[in-house]
Amino acid sequence: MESTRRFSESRNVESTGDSMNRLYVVESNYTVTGTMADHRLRIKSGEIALFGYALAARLAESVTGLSAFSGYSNKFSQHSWVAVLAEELLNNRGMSILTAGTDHATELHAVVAAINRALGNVNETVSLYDLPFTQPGDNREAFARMVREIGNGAYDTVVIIGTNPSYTAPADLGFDDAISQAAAVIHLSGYYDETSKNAGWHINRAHYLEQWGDGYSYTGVQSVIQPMIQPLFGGRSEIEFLATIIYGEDKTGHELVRETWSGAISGNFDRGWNKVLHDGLLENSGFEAVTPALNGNFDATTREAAGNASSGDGIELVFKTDPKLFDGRWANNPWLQELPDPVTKITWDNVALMSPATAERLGFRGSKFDSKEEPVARIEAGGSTFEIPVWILPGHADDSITVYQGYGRKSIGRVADGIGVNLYAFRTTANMLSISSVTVNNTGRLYTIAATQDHHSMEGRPLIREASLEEYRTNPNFADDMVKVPGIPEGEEHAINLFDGPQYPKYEPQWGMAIDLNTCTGCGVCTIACQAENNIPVVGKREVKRGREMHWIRIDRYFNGDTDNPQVVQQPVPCMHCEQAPCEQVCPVAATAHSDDGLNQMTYNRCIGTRYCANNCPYKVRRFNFFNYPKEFLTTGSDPEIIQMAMNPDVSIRFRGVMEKCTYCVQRISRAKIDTKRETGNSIKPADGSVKTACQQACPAGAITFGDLTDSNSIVSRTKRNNRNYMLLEELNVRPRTSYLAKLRNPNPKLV
Amino acid sequence: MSKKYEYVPEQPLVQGNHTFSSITALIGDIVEKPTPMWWYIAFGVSNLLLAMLLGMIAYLVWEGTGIWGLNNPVGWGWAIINFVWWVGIGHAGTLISAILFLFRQGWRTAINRFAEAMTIFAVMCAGIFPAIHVGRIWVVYWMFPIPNQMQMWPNFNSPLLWDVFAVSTYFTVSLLFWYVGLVPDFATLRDRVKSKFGRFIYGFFALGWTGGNRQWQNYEKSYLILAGLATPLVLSVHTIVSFDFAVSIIPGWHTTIFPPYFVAGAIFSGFAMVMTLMIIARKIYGLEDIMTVNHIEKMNMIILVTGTMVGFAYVMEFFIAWYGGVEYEKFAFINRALGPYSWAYWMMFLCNVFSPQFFWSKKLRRSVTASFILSIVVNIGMWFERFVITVSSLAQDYLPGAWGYYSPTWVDVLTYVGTFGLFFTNFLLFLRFMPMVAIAEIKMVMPQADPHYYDENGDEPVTANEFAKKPDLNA
Repeated sequence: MESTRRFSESRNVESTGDSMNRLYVVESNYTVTGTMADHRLRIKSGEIALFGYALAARLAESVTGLSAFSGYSNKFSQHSWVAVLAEELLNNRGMSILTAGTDHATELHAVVAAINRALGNVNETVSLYDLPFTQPGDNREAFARMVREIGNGAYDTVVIIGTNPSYTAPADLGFDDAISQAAAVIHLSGYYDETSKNAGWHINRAHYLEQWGDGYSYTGVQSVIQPMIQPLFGGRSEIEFLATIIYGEDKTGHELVRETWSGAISGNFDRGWNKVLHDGLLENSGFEAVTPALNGNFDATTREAAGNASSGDGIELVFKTDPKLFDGRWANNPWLQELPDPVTKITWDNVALMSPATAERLGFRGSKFDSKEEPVARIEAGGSTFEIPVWILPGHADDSITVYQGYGRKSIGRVADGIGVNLYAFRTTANMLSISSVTVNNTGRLYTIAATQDHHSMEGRPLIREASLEEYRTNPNFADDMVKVPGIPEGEEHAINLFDGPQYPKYEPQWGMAIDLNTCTGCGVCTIACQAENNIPVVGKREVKRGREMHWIRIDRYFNGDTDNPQVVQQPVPCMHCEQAPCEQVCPVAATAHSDDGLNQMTYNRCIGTRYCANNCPYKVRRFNFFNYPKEFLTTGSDPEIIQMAMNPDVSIRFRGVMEKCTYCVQRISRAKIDTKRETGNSIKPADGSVKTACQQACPAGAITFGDLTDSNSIVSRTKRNNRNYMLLEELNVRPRTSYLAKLRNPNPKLV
Repeated sequence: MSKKYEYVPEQPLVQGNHTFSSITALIGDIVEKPTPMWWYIAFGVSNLLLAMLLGMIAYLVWEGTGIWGLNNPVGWGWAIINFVWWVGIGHAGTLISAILFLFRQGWRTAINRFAEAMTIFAVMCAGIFPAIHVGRIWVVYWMFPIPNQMQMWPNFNSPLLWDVFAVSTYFTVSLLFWYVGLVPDFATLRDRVKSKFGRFIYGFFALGWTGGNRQWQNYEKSYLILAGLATPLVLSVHTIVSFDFAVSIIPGWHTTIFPPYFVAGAIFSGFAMVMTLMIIARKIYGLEDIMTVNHIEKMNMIILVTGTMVGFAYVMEFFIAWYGGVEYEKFAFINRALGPYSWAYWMMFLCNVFSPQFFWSKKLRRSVTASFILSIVVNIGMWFERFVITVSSLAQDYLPGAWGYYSPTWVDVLTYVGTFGLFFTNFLLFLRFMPMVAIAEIKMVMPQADPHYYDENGDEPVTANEFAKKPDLNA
């Protein structure tokens, strides 16, 4: 999150004088980061290390500290990117960051750190910390050894805290068999999961919002975790559990945390403790930044690694944690299951991602617009086989298949069960992150995939307006100039209108929103934040397949350019709160109407459900309750009361047959207006920034601004004065209150 | 070079040399004679379909509109398509009885009663859909401007509200018009039926009609006034139905050509439906003397004209989409012809534009078989026209990210099929218990009612028998 915020801060362009960072991404799969790249190179995951070494070798010619690579060369040494990147990095010493993905080899990470050091980035753009509580050594090997020992009966009692090895452990270790040798297995876990089933004791673990605890940020700032609520099911936190089994103490988490912190706080403990609770962190804490020197073995080790590195010839299979479910721990969370994947827009399934060229070579054809049936592949390696639907992803590297872990759960919950394919069963200690060569066959079967977007090209329409930084500097109004709106009189903002527009009282604020497409990464956090805030029901795969997802803010993702190597652009689309709202005119019962503060409001009680408003919405942001969606999860299952507690009491639950859509979080607006009136006695215009919509609050990039347009100094008014500001479909003269800031890219002229 | 111009006398509208009493018997007997077996079978089947319709509606009310195939971009599907289709069919009756009446088209009398009945039942089938397609059926009465304690009024800007008024007015006027025309015939049946109950019922609805001179004068006046009232309604109903689409801002819907185009299409499909039913009825009930091949030919001409108008509208839409220069609209039309719904578009084009062109041939125009087949083809085509307009425009409008494909569910299909149950249940009851041809009116256009016996020059044979022998007039 912090990285996103810091990245977007240096892409926040307010005028032509502003500069902007430049992002190069080398990857096999198309990730959210890749969609933000100014330049993206798609190569097989197994070749990324080679690329890194080739870059190091090129840099070694100009900087010191990389002598291990002098004279080294591989297939990427002559690649145009290596020369260009080396030049960029050398020209921006101390101002660049090079980083490698977490799933790459230690040697590559070491080389990347060495490059950052050689370029003088350390303590400028990169900080290195000496982490306490970590042990050097190979954790994978340690785990495998432990499983072997458990299997040999070396331990009577095995205690497992939080993790779920029966599901996630490499298949070749035989974890389940090994653990059956232990006399007692105690598992502390938030879910009764695969491991719990193999454990004699399952102990209910408190959720992190139910417990006291403490921790470090990744830079070492100390913080206290405070509970939001008493444990709903009497769960025990890790520290309480450990205190019990190790020290035999039955202390509360609160007592334990205070005990720990008695050493960290100097002076009056209660005063210091209260300050930490208030601030949320301990002042002046943090790990010590270090400037490590290269280890004496560095040259030899990396030279050996670089010498051994090679790219396989076959089709590689890369395991990744799911962008939504992570390693599968959130699989029983329906919000996340139904959140469209930021790049593929798939919900409720995992698939094998491959490039169009690879798919064609393997004989897979994706579904057309009128079908959601995707081909199913049988993938084989090392004697084991699995079948998984194929999804053709433009921009994916050729000869490479990416699969997401975290699916295929069995009897752990009514949401996760039977969704997707379990790939842990296929992963072994030798191939934890990828398999360099697999055999892929077409089963000939088809499988229905529920994706929320079925068409992936903008069809040349000026929806997401984009330019390079250079073009923007030449023509700062490029976004506005892309569409000629007829009929705007001199000095007026909008085109002429047949009708008198709504009249807004002077004492009312006028709400508006701006979304910066230059910083939006399309991650989907806004969608989930909105879902949580506004009690938006989850509708399930069957309904998503029928195109009935309920998200009030969706993110349109389009591919631009060549199908093999396209660019991706993302655009969040909530209700635009048009001043001349086409939905309002067609509702026969006036269930949707304008408020004095400029909101396009939906009156659920009045709605009879003709769906005419949704038809007439040019942005298609209205969502209809085709069934009584909330009923199932609010009234069935083992604990409907808990689900009911998850609902926001300020927002009504919608019955079937009514339309709904983004309200600009009207409940927050009303609360702020009431508070302002109470404080000031007469004004109902809340101070700027006191109303934040849920999507705005959650956006890690700060791409969404919201506020009062009658205040010309409000952040949103200032944002809308940015010359990148444009209105989507302005030519319809519906006068949307939500506008966009055009996207910029900062390409290197040498690579264009 | 000389040409001989000849006066072509009009064909006699009723053939077979009927007398007034034989006409009365021909039509009255249908009602008075015992019910034929085929009627029971047909009625049973229609009842089953009607029961299915009611079942589908009950399921819909119970479960919600989700049982249909609707989705996020496509908020209107088969329900609205069926509504527009049935309303369109319901156009022919009043057009035939009112507009053709005002234009003094005597041939209308053979089919007006029949067509009006069809209109009323078709509008009933149509009216179901706007009522049931809403999400919350139990509050659908909010569409009406009923005074209430909350002072909540409907939104008079909404075309859906105009629809409510247009269709209900049309239904009311059509029903009145139909009933007024039935009064003299009910009196005829009252005087002929044997059963006491029948006499009572027909007598009740005959409103004490005795056929007196004053009654006829009043009758003719009221009929004329109603015809005058109904005429603008014929044009207004489908105009307003087209506003449901034309007033919106969706490319493919927002089109000024819609009102005339919808009216032409409605007449087109209405005549086709009358044709289908008429060809069956005249055969079963032996009414070939009243509903003659000449009638079929005249109706086919109207089908040809309106079908070509519809074809012109299709082409004009394309032209304007290009000429207007709005890229979204351009896309909408190109996409109709080449996109994922192109199968429906070409089905529509084939049925509505190409198939009526066969009627340029006099032989086909006068062929009962060809007319029957093409009348069905036309109504299939008109259903697809509504499908293309409603679905393809919504499925792919402004933002490609929101596009989605619509397909119906089995409930959509069975609900549509069920409306035929409602239609035919009503229609069979009508055939069985009401005079299906306007007895009183048809007598006015018989050769026997013409004091000149179609004799413009005074040199024609003077008796009906002699007249009937003239071969060139009975060709």
